[in-house]
Amino acid sequence: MVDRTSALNKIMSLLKYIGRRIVSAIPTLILITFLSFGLLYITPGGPVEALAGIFGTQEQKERIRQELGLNDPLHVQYLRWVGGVLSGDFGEMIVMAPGTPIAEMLRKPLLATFWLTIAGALIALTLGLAIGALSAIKPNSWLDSLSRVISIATYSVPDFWLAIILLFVFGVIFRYRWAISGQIDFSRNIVFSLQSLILPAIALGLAKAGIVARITRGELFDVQNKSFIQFERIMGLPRWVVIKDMLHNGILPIVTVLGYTIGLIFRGTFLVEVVFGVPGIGLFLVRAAKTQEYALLQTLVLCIGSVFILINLLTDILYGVLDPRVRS
Amino acid sequence: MNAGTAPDRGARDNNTHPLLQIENLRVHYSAGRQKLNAVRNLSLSIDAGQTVAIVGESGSGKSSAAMALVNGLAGNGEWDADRIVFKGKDISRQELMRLRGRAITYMMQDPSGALNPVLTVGDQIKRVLKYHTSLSKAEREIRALELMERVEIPDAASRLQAYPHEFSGGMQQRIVLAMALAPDPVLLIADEPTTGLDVTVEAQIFTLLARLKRELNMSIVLVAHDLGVVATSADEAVVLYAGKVVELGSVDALFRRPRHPYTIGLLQCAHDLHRDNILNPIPGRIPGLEERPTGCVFHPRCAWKTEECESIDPELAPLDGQRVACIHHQDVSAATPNS
Repeated sequence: MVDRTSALNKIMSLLKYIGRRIVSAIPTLILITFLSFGLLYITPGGPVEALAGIFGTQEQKERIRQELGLNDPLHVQYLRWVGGVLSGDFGEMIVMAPGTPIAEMLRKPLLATFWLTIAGALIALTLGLAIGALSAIKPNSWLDSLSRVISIATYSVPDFWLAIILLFVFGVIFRYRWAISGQIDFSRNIVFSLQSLILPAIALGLAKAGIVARITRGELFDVQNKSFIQFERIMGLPRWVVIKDMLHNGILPIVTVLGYTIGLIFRGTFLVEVVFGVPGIGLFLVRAAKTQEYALLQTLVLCIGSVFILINLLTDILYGVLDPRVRS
Repeated sequence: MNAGTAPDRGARDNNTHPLLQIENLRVHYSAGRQKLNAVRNLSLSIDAGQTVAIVGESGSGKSSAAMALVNGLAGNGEWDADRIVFKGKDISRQELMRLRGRAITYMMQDPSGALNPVLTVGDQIKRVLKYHTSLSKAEREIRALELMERVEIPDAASRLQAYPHEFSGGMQQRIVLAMALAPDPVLLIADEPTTGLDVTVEAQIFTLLARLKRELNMSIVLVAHDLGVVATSADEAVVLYAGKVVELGSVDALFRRPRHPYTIGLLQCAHDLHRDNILNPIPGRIPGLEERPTGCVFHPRCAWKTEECESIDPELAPLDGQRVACIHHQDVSAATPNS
């Protein structure tokens, strides 16, 4: 009975906390819509120039402006755009594939980048947590020293550089076909997609595993000397209970870094995609900027911003689940 | 009171043996190749229902001694003793270790850090009950509430579901106490249980401890640096200086007639504080673990020092029911009036 009410209390306070986090994310989201919408007006060129070409006449340009609604007041344009976004209409492609809805255009690259981020994050986390935990168990052992060297080496190296090296080793020297395949589309070919995922994910994950390992080591090492862990030992609680509590408390600061690390990996995919020729968001971003595909660029900026907000939100929620002090 | 530790109860009425006797407890820490002695040959005898205080400045080794009894020393710390006698029976270190968390429990120094921040206090108390008693889940629920009420936490039923950070320091220390009392121990080791708490809260905690000790007929080893606390709550006291026992005896005797220059110095500090006079501190400071002097450890700070003190390490010698480790104790006694 008491157990049930306490569980209910916990869930209620957690839900309230999640609600508060979501509400506080909204202003940031609105700010991002301003920024991505404003992009159209602060960069040189613009859709009109892009559509009319360098030889377009004034009349042609005026007609295009009318068609695109660019003569309406700014707030009308903004609200029209936001309204479209909210109903899933992000506009159409103008230059690269005229008439194609952007939502359709972006579906596959978004998925490819998503899988790449997930795979990179998994590698960074498993490697980082494992190496960090191993060195925390025996501090100042050869294992600890080795992990320190590896960690510092991996986090001082940029991910795209690792990508180039991996590509060179596996693609150029060993001539593995899968090293440069590039396509990641699980709806079409699972094996092929997994193969294409391997090298970019390693490049992304390895570059961030070092920082996760160092922080894990530090936190797990510190938590062993916390008074409450000592108290639990002295009170003769079973070893596994004490270890469980050490992990639970040691993981808290690591969670904060996790969100940040996943954000970095997501950002890292852009360049790594370019290196491996993976048609993800990164490749699209470069092309959209080159061809002045403004609606696409706007949508991408909006997407990337939203992904960061989402990652932060999820980190906060996870933190709230794990630490009651954050909830209240 | 509870069935879980019933076998431990019987001997409590048996007053012929002390509850716990430790002979020549030694604690050392290894630093690289070096072995640093934190406690040298501390002998303790605790009767049932008695409070024995271990008194000393910080660095005297009092916490190390207390921690050794519950095997809670830091990773580089080790301890040993010539003899451990529990309820008249010789036991090994391993057997003593098995008593911790059951017959012998511990109250941590720093209440704000002693509780796991991610678990409700109810869960933490119930967990101790789960692993150290044979109570059922429902019984543990009731017992946890009882314990919260026993340590005088207002509104105990709803507070069981609160987290440590939702309590004040004094309340946190009461919860630590509730956890320490949960297995129904015969001996509670309280390591400066009021560090970092207000004076008023400190008084409340000691009043509570005294009452619980009476009610539960439990013994307490109280680690303290505050002589006022020792005077009001302890029956016997062991004065520790730089890892060595310099004097021990009943608190009455020690306070009425201290025999060791260090004890006299400590008491003078306390007296001066009470009389609002200028503080009369013992000159110098306690030597670190690496810089323990030869002979009597106290000689560099001692007003009675002679040449012999630099070479002779005095044994604890019996003296009217007290024991004192000072080769000049007769001169010292003669020169110091009873207070």
